[in-house]
Amino acid sequence: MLHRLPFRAMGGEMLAILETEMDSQPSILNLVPIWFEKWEQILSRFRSGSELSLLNQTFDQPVKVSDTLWDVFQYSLSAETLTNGLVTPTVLDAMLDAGYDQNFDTLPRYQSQYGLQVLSAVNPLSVVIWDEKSQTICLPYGIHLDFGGVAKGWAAHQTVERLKEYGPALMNAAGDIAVSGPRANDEVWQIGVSDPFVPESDFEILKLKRGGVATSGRDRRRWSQNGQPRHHIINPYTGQSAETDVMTATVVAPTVMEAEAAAKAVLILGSEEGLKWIESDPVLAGIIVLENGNTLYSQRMADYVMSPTVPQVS
Amino acid sequence: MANKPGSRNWNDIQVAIATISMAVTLAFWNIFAGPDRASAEKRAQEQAAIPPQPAVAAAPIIIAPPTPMGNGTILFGGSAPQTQIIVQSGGGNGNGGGGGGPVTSTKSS
Repeated sequence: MLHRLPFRAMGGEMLAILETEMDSQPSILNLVPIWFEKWEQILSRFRSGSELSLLNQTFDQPVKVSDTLWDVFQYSLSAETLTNGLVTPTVLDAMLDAGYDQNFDTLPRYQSQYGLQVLSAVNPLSVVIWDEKSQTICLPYGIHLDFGGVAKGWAAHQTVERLKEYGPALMNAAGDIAVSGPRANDEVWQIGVSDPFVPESDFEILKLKRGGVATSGRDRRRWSQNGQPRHHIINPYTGQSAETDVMTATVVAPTVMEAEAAAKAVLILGSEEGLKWIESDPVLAGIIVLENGNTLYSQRMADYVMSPTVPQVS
Repeated sequence: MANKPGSRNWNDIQVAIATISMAVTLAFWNIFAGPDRASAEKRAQEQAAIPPQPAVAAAPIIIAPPTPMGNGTILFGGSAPQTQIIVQSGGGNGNGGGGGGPVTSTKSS
């Protein structure tokens, strides 16, 4: 039996799935929203009292952080390394400059900004000083963090790690999906890939036994600032919303955190460079949907798609 | 020097008028309140003659059990999670990918 628990957290729709032999609901599933609430209270930049917000109010002083924040910070370092600096939590100020200064549900879609806007490359995470022994993070003046999608991926990963002792589990955290392993009888998890041009419909179905899959796109969180289109994927090298021909990028990876970071990197790189980068990493597979509607598949995606032949458009 | 004649008498007259007023008020009170009191005593005597009715047992008070609390911190604000569980049969046809369609979808958030 598949037991499904949909709920809302971290500004998005969540879905926890646990497969067990039980007919009645597993009580462990009811704890998932409580875990997410606890993590959001630590990791959200939209909550003024969160641990992350309090850390962002400090500078030039080491701050001891919780295990959760420390763990996500470490994964952010890994994401920055994996993506050659394209995915970094230090983009917060650039994100605020772009107008993304509140929860997207309440964000004005048409904004006007007055005054001089200074756009520059974002500092890498290496400017932050941390100490593993004391578990402290020291932010330099002017550096603030936003874990963004890394936090969602981390939460999805943590959830399936906790649920897997009760049975095969899947956690979909607003599109970032982690699976604990194969389903009962070694079956695969079937996961749809949403069509950015046709809401609520899938254009592809993936089969996944382990690891994670994530999609990054500019089809949803977008707005206009002074008449200019903006979206939430910031290119750290320009400090602005990434200019790209990619509408959405979906990546399968050994972990959902890697999948989330890689999908964002592909979107920033653009279709040509993004596909090359995906192909250069033997553990990644990707589908890229372009703004003109064409779809690109990496070679290794043939291992994951349900359709017998993988279409190639390049 | 002699007191001003008449001033003392006027005060006495005021006191006398007040006294008479109160006396008259009490007199009328007794006249008209008296019959009511008599009828009330009569009704009390009649009710005393009626045999007492058996007491009706009061309904028991049900105390609801305390709401079970989760392990985490409860914070107010935002939408409450929907704790509805949907049980879905797990179809599938082995390693070839299973049946019944995708269980969920990935999309940009």
